[in-house]
Amino acid sequence: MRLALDAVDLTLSGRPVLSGVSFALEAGEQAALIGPSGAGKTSLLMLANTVLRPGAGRVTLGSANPWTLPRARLKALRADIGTVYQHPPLPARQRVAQAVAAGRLGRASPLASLAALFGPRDVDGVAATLARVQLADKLWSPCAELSGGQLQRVGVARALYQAPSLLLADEPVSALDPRLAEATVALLADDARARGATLLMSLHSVELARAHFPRLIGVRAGRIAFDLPREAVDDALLAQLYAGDAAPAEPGPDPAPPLPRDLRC
Amino acid sequence: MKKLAPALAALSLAATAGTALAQDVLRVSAIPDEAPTELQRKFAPLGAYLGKELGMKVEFVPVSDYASVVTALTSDKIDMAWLGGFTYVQAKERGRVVPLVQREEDARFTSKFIASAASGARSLKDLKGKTFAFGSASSTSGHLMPRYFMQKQGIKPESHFKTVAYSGAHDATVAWVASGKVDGGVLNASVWDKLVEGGKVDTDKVKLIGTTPAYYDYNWTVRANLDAKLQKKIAAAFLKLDAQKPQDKEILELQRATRFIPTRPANYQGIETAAREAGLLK
Amino acid sequence: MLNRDPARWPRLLTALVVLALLVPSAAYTRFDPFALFQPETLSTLAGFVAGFFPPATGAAFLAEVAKETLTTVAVASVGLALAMAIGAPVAFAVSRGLDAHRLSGERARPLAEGGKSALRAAMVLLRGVPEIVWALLFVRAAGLGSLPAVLAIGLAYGGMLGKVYAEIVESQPAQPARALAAQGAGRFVRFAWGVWPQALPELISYTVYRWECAIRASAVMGFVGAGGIGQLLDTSIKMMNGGEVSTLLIVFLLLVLMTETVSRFARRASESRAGLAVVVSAMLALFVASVAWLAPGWQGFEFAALPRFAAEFFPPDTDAATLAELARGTLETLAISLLGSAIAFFGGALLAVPAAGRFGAPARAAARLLLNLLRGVPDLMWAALAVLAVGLGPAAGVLALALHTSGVLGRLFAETLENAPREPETALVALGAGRVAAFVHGLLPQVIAQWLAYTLYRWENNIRIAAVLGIVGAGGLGQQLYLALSLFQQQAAASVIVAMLLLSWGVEQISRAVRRRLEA
Repeated sequence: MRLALDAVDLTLSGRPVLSGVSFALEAGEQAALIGPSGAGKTSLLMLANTVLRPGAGRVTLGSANPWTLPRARLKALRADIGTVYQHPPLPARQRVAQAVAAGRLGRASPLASLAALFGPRDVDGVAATLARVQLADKLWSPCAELSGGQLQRVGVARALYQAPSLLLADEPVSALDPRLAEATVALLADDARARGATLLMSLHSVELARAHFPRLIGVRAGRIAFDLPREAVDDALLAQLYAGDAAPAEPGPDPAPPLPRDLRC
Repeated sequence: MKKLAPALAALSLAATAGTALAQDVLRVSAIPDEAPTELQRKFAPLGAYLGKELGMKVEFVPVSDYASVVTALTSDKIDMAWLGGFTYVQAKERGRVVPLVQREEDARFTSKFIASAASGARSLKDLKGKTFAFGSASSTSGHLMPRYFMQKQGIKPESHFKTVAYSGAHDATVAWVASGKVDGGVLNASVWDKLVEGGKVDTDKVKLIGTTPAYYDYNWTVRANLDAKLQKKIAAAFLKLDAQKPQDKEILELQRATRFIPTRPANYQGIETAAREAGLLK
Repeated sequence: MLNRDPARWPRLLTALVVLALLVPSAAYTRFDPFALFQPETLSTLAGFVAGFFPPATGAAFLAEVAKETLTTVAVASVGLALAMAIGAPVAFAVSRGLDAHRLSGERARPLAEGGKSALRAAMVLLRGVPEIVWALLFVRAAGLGSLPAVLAIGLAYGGMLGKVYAEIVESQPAQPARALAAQGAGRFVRFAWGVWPQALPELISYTVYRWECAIRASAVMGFVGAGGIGQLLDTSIKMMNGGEVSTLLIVFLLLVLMTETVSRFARRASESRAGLAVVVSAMLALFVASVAWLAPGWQGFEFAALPRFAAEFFPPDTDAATLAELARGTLETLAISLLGSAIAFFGGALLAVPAAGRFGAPARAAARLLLNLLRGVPDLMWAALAVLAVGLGPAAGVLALALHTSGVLGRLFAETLENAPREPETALVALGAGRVAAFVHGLLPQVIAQWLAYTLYRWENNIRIAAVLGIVGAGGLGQQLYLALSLFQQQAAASVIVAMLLLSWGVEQISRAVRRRLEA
């Protein structure tokens, strides 16, 4: 699926996040997004997967503007877009099998999705996908029992299981050790290539980006700093891109509220 | 705020002291076998008459349920009460009370079984597996005696009917049957006749399906420690009522009595036996 | 074979156990959800609702309503004052937060500890007997009027306040009390200088919240003849006077609304020092005014009768017929509570979704209004109305519990929905899942354990309610208690009360065990 952004602006709670962003990925193309923390990489990916709506400019997916599509068409379009999140948003009590199987909810009827509550239909398919991220033994574990890195790989497995035409990945290996990170990025890239899917991945590590992606897009302060083939990205450009970067602290998840003192009366 | 308990004790002491002093008010109550407004209406002329005859203030104390009247009379909260046969027996069991007078009709009282037309029932047998309402659980004519006579016929209400409920009062039982809330019920013959005469019940909707044999019911009872002279005066006032006199006629009609006759504890032996057999008195 | 869900058999088993409990419950209580929607029932219901219009507005009736409404408020206020008089000293005596041996290295004195355990057990008994049962007992023992209601609220809430006050004291930072203990200060000094200043706002705030509850409790006391607005409602319901019933319900709901507003305001005010002073003086004024209003009706209440009456309860009746009847009533009570709570779980869940704002602001407001209405009318009042609508017996009890508990659970469920992170759901929408699918796979797994825990918690409460619904004719142990007390069969009544206590104790144990597993 082709992805194109054309002069896109984005404002979140009064703060400008992206301005004048334009680039395009042809169907089957692969690119990495790099840039300092807070540059707007995540927002850019959320524009591409239609979670966020641009304030100005135009997002094109395939040949369509998602924001002018009727509901049913938008839903069908979304079913073909997969996202890997840095912090996979998985309910803590959900079991891994369910979390991965949810990747295909976009193609399930409402009734089938209700039936899936009692257990995924295609357990073998889910198990096979988990094996690709070396988590076959966690099939029936609740997500809460997984480490950050394992959770991230469950998120990858969900996207693989979904098998979308456009795969977006937001720092998908930030919690993995270098060896697993390498393997996981390769897995995503190979999978996309094998299926002819478009892949856009934001990465913290420039080395990984250079090693796996022919095209690098640098983002800084809400703008595209450069958009070049990897050979053209030199150390000077990178130094400029990351100038003055300091990683902000990640906020932890909220604890569950305790039972109220008294439910009588 | 913490001084409540002593304050309460002081209040109750004061209250007891007040009752012990002089008897210048006669406190009268009645089992609430009909709606409270109806009880007040029935009592008003009788209260005025007694006040005049006894030369003292007569005060009606409304009470919300049968058992409370028994408690009130046996703990000297009230001086006189209109009791049913069964509540009289309960009062006698729990304290010292004297039955004074009863209506002539009370010597051969009956209960009426009714059923809603919609239920199609024409007899108690037809009501098998349907819902049924007594009046108050403490009622003689609305519970005890019908239960006793049913048992004599081999009908155990709890297993014969689908549910057994207690409406609380005779007119409520009729309202329940009329509305279809229950299929059948039983009530005091005197209230039934009054409702029918007054057109308060739609006899197309509520059918009479049976009548019990006669038994002794209601009476006017005083606490035994009430001044003996006063007891005599009260009884005399009741016995003097004469349907020939216009002003007495009104009182008697409201009481649904032709005249009052003296009564005695022995009259209620039958009720007591029935209560023990029906398991309502242990 | 390799990828079989290891949880499938346990889950299937759980589902079967739940079904095995609910299906016989439905049969046993004769609760037929489908019968509710048959044309015949619907027309009865329509007639029933139509009977509510127009509300009665006769001057004499309204004057009576006004008088009884004041009585209701006064009973709640004096009852709560009595509860404070019981609860506060007990909490002071038993709170672990004041124990010298917990604050410093001192050794515990076995005699004192034994005394505290006995006090705690007494509090459990006080709050274990529902307030309506206390009221019924006092009405039977010593007669008429509002004093039985005051004593009932005082005892039941005294037991509750004793426990919660002690917990509030325990939840305060221990350092100030510890420092005082180290200086050799006694229990009172440790409390007055170490705990009281920090704990006061929370103590007052909880008390005000309890007052709100006491108003609702006081409003149903009339069902057992203990005065207030419930007494009028009882008469109007018995006489099937729909117009009066609707006037009374409207007045009652306004009263609840007003109480909630006052309570919210007071709880906010008690956060500041000046506000606290105002709240405390207002409470005192209300108490004095309430006593002045009620006191004339208290003459004739015989305290001396209480011990004599209490003695009549011993020994509890244990003959075979009574026990068989008790077993039946216990099963019926259990069935009512199970089915009512289960239906309320689904009702609450259905209402929580719009109430959490998922279908827009108008739907949210409407759902919240409905939830408040369901929750605002006490279970006993719903039962009295349900008896009118679906007839006497346990089915009415199920309906009443289901309605009231739906309101309670719906509000709690809506809160958990609003507090749960939205990201998992958004992620599912982004991959094309429909609204229903995104909800059930993204949001539901986050809240479902909490919902079940709330429902179980509520079930513990509902078993007590189910045990008293019979007082208004809605089946269960309550009807047996009412009958026994009407017939002066105190020993049988004692057996019923023991059965009630055992039943609610047993349910509490089961529910706690399941909740612990859910929270693990």
